[in-house]
Parts: sequence; C-alpha cells; structure tokens
Amino acid sequence: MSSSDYLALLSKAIEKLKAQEPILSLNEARILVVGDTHGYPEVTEWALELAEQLGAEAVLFLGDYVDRGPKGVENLELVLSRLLEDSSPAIYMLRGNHEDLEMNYYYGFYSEALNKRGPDYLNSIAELYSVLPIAARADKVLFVHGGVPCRLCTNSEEDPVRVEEIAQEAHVLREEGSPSLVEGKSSLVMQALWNDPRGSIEWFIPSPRGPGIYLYGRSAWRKFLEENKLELIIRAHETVDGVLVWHSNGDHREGVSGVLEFDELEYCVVSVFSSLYHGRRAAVLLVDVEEGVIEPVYYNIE
Amino acid sequence: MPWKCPVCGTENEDDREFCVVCGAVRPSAEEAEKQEALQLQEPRDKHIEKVEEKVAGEEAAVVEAGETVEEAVAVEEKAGEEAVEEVKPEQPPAPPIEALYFEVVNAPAPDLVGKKIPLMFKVFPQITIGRSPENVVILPDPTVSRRHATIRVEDGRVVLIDLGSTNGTFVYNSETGSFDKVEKIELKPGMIVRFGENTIVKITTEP
Repeated sequence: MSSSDYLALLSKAIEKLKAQEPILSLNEARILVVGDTHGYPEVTEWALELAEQLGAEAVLFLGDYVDRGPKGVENLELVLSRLLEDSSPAIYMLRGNHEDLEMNYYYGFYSEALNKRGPDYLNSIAELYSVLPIAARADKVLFVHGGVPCRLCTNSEEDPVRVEEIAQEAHVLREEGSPSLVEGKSSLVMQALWNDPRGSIEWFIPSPRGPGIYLYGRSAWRKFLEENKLELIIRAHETVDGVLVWHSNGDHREGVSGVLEFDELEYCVVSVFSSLYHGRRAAVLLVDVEEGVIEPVYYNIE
Repeated sequence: MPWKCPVCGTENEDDREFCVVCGAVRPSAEEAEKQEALQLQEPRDKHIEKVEEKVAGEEAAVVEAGETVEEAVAVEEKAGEEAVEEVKPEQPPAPPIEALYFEVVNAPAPDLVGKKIPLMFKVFPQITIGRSPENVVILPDPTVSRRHATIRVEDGRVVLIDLGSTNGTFVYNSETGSFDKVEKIELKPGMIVRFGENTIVKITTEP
C-alpha cells in the first residue's frame, strides 16, 4: 500500500463513522467485546477469528487501539479495514482515552505514526478521533471505555447523568472536532472514557489519573444504571487480569471465567482487558443479549 | 517455616517479615496460633464462648483506661449491639476490635485494590508507612516516599503524621470534593487518605 492508500483508508473510515450516532444502539444479539488492544494486532486478529468461530454477529472494540504496544498503526488499520468490509460479523469501534493526540505524544503512537506514515496521516487521525462513537447500548447493557461520569463529583449522592446528556455533548464535540479530550475542560464525554469503578467507595472521588477524572463508587454506578434503565456496564481501560467483575455490593473478582448470567450481574460493572503489554492475561467477552449471558474467552489458552 | 498472610492469604517464605503481595506485617507465632484457634472455633461450643466473653470484658477494661478513642467508640457500639443481641443469645459476641484497617481503594499494584491492611497500634507503637521494606505498612508506589508517614496513638487519639514526604499525604474533603494536603491529622473511620499521587485508602474498622 502507498501512503495515499493509507490516507484513503482513514478518510473512508471517517465517512462511515460520521454516519453513526455517537452512542450506538446495537441490534445484534451475539457480540464479541474487545477491550484495550494497545498496539497488539495479534490479539485483534485472534479476536476477529474467534468471533467467526463463535458465530458472533458483531465485534465491538472498546477503544485504545494505539500507544504502548509496538504496532499501533498496524492494529488501528486492521480494525479500520475490517470496519469498511461490510461483511459479517459487523464491526463497531468506540473511542478510548488513548484516541487522543495529546496522549499519543506521551505514549508512543505519535512518533510511531509519524515514522511509519508521515504528518498527513496524523492530520487524518485527528479527524478520526473526533468521529469515533463514545458508547454503545444493547438492551440493558452499556458498553463504554471508562464508565460513569458525574456533574458535582463528590462522595455524596447527586442526580445521575443520563446517557442522552453524554450523547448531546458528544454531538457538540464532533462538530467542534476533538483530537484531544485531555486538553479541553472536563466533560461528561471525557469522564466516560477515563473514569474507573472502585467498589470500596460510594459516589465519586478524584482519580489519581488526573484533573477532571474520577473514581466512581458502587452507589454511583447503581444509580446511573437505574436512571438509564440499564443493568450492566461492560468497559475496559484498566490493566486487569483478563476479566474483572465489580459486584453491586462493591466486592470484586478478577480473572473470571465460565458463563455468567445477567441475573447474577445486575448492577455490576465488568472490566475486560485485551492487550499483552502489561504481562497479564488478555481476554475478550462474548455477550449474548438474547440468552442473557456473558462468557470470557482468554487469549493463548489451549 | 513459611507463613500465611492474615490479610490476603498469600503463603510467604520464612525470611519475609512482610507479605510479598499486600505488604501486611508477619504475625507473631502467638498471633498465628490465636488466629487458627479462632477459625477452628465452633459457635455452639459454650466453653469457648465464655472464654471469649471474658476476653471481650478485658478489652473493654483496657479501653476504659483510655487507650484510643476509636476503640472506645467501637466498644460502645459493640455494647449497643450486645444489648440488642440479648434477644438472640445464640449468636456469638462480635470479636474485639484491636485495630483500624486500610482498605485499599486505589494502588499502582492492581492486586492491592480491595485488600485490607491492619493497623495494629497495640503491636506497633509507630506504624510507619512508606515504599521501603523497613516500614510496617509498605506501599509499592513510586510516588510514595521511602519513609512517607507514620501513625501513632497520642493522648488517646490515633494520628497520622506526614514525615516530610516528597509528594505529600492528603485527606479527602467531602465539602470541596477534593483532597487536602495534611501534615498531621486524627484518623477516623470513613476517612479517605491518599499517599503520594496514586495510593488511596479508606479507613475502616471492619476486618
């Protein structure tokens, strides 16, 4: 492929993503969910093959395609080219906190892309970041990179944010362009990509990740789910051992395997991590909305 | 002889004085035996129940002498519970509270999140906190100083003192919703404390 081919790939992907709502509504029942892949196309390839083997109707990527791992360019292009194929399973992409040019300066993708593809490519990347959807909804499940945002953001009860409010803000950011969210003021969208769940707290406390980012507690995620008529959040963003479940009572289990029913996951938050850079296990989640089950599948396990 | 961590259950080598996973201090042989005995105890064993009540009574006496505010409060609460429990005498009395705990809310080492670290101010007059292994509580966090803070009992109060750490010790302020830097503060259950930039713990009385 020549450099104009790579630019064409990006511009076609941008057109396709622009036509999607910033909060996707998924109609597929069997969805393979992939967490952070961070420059490891081998995991992405494995997930795409696995989706076909398992008869998944859609593959949903929760973001963080680039940075940290050595092959961010290849990884992102692999997902984008599959997005454009229009074959089954359907491919959906969400924005992660690393789909952010400011982050890319510090975590490797900026120089990687500059070396491998040149400056024009980065201009298109900035446009791509602005149009990536922020979250997806399938029945009672919300998929998002980080999780629950807040308005007042203190460790006491507040009116829960509605998903429509995040969508409104996302529309505005799309119009304005948002190559970097960390440079702007704190927003619901930024928090949805950055916040982390912590069962030992109740509402919100400032996150060590930085200003405008929060840790959300067990009452915060329950209220948010209730308000939005949801029951479960599936998210990525943290280097967990494959799959971690935060239960509604605030306890958590890591490295979870086996089939889990929606009934036992009511008002839970599930984290899935799919990269290899952290030296722990990579996993993906098969979510069957009709059957009401999720099943973790671990990478490289015979 | 390898020893089992009373906090997270990790089997540690004999030459370790602190748990390699959660940093909890190694229990003395006596403590370990007591722990085992408690685990083996059956609630319907009337004899042991009586012994426990006696121990609990002694505990209350010590607190009356003004050991710590937290314990006094805890024992008062316990007394309240017992009064209610008189209706149901079959239940064993709650174990005496000997310590506060750090419940880890956030840490760079993901395995630490959710773990509880006991602060045994009866065993250690100074509970030193920091990154290096000579501390009572070791926090594996590059933004925590080698000797970061200490906890001790002063005039019946449990106080947390920052030891001039590079990145500071902070307490969550529910009024402002942010963390305030502190030099010295009385520790109370429910407080949320941050050491350096990344390690956040909640103070709790529940083991």
